[in-house]
Amino acid sequence: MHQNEWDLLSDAELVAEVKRGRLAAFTRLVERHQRSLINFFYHVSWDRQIAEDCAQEVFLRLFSHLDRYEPQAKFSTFLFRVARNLWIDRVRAANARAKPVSLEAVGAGGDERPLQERIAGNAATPVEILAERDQRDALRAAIERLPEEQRVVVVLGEFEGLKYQEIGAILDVPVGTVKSRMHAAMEKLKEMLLQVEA
Amino acid sequence: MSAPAECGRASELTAFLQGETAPEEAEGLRLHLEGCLPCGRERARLEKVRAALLGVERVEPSADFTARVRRSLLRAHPEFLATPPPGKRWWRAFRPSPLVALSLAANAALALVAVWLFYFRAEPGEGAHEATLRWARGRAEPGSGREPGSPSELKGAALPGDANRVKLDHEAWQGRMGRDRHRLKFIEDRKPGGDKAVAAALEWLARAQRPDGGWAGASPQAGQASSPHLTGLSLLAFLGEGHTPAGGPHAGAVRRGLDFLLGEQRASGLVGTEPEGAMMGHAIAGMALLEAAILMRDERLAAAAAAAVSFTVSAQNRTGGWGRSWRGEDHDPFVVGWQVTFLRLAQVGGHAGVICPLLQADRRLRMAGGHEADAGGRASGSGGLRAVTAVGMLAHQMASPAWDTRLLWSRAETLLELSPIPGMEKASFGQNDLDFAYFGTLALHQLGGEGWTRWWHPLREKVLLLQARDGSWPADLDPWRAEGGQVHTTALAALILETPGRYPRMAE
Ligand SMILES: [Zn+2]
Repeated sequence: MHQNEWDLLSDAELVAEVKRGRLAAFTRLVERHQRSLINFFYHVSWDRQIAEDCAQEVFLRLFSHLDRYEPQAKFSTFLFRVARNLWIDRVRAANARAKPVSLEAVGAGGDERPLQERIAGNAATPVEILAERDQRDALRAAIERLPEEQRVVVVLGEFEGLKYQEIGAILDVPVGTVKSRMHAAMEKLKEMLLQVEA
Repeated sequence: MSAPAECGRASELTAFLQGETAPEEAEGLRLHLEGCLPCGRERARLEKVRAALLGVERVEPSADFTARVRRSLLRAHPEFLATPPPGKRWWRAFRPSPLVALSLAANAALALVAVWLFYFRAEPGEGAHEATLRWARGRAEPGSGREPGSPSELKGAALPGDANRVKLDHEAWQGRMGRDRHRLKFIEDRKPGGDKAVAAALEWLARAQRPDGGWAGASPQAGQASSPHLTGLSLLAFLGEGHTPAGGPHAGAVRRGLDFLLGEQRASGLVGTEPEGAMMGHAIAGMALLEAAILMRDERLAAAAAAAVSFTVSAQNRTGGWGRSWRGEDHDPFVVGWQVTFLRLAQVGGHAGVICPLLQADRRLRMAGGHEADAGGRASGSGGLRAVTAVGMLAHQMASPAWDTRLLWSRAETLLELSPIPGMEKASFGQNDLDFAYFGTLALHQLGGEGWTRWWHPLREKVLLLQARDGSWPADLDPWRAEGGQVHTTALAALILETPGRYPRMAE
């Protein structure tokens, strides 16, 4: 099949082709979803290597779990559910080994100090940081400081553009819970990022 | 710390800004926002935060990411490599099936549907044009009783490019698949009508056939090669009156013509020598093969037509149109017009895999509205407008299970303001456009009612007035396809005259 012709198939159709043993369909699924999956892991870990390893692991798990996929459901929901579960597993394992790979402490690379400290250490205000070259760092640090359950909602909602309902399906929580977590997260981000304006 | 929000409704703003407020509440909140200062401030702050979030760093997958995943998958599941289907072409995977044999023997009206299903059940191979895969998913598993294109199969069917994702109304489609059986019957029941003008045109075309079985353009004597385009057009004129190789005065001509087309088909399914500029001829020739397959219930023709459909599907460009060449983006509306008619006909014959391409074409032409300038070289003035209007109307009629009648009527109004054949004197032939007359006629016939009668009667009269005594139409009647000569004008004029008996309404 011509490469582009796979593009005509929906995710559900590609899954059906994978089940029939077509490696090319699997490859197409990977190509289609690698970007959002890797970025999902990147935004919860801030580590490129971890992000790619996890994404790869998700695709492998996905393959073993294809039978559980209902074609009626959105494939991305299924995908992120697997991703989410994998991340939880990783965090638990890391916590059990008492290594600093916890959700709260994954290294951002470079400056490991909490945001407030960094801000205090800098003459610039957060707003100036935002405006200048450290914008990414400030944002990254702010996201990092969100409680894990709020962070994942922001990552899925604001970065991956998913609707509350889909996020709820991924996290197995009611839409109302997604809504309140999102609100709480935005309040915190507002405090951290716009502190000076208050 | 930011100042605490001073209004109780401020807590609703996050969801509101993210488009997650229920529609019935959104209006109230919007009104509230207009008057509430604290909420206005809160909103501004939240928007700043969201703007900052937009700037989040994103990473691109490493270049070898996919390859790594594949490798690790194959390491974990070595059996994966053992299972893929062999690289044979789907039509070689053809095996006689008792199911099909039975229904053919029963000579039921649905036999052709079974033939289609049969072909589409074949394992899609690794050939050049394996859009057949898309048909395979609409195939009926023996004994499963599943219809081609059953709603569950179509769910979430994606079109190229996420932006073009079209939601299917499954119930509407399901209803339509059932009704298509009657359409198939309508086509099968074609009979030579009593129209003397058409009969004379067919006589002329039969005389103009070349020894190789094809038809050629302007000057057959000058050694111009027979073309799939003109051969297909001529054959469609015969088939439109129910003339087949099975019998009747033109049986031989039709058989030789079909043989010529079969000989012109490449392994890719393309009917033509090379895809450059061949898309219109391909669709016309493919339609001739398809109509003949339907009328004859012939497996060989059905296979050839199926491959041609596959090629058309694969040739659709990324925006949902067709160009003159494979995946070309020149958007000649008439090329699109032939492709959508071809695909719709294929669907009537039992295809499910053509739904998405059809919907996409409809969508594209709808977006183009009547404003698209490029119209097959007719870029200037009303030529492009009328072409896009007629074909856009037809694409919608062919593609959509539920017509947007307001859209269709507004298009019809535009068409009815134009004369399909404005040039009745030799000096004014330059104003004519037979392709437009053909597609306008198809579209208005599909629409029916007063629009159709207002279009049809004057047009028919004009066409009859212009016919020569020998049954042909003047070569220079249509300046746009001068290279097609008399064969082109005569076949197209005959097709216009045959319109009412050719196809049933394709959606209603
Ligand atoms: Zn308020």
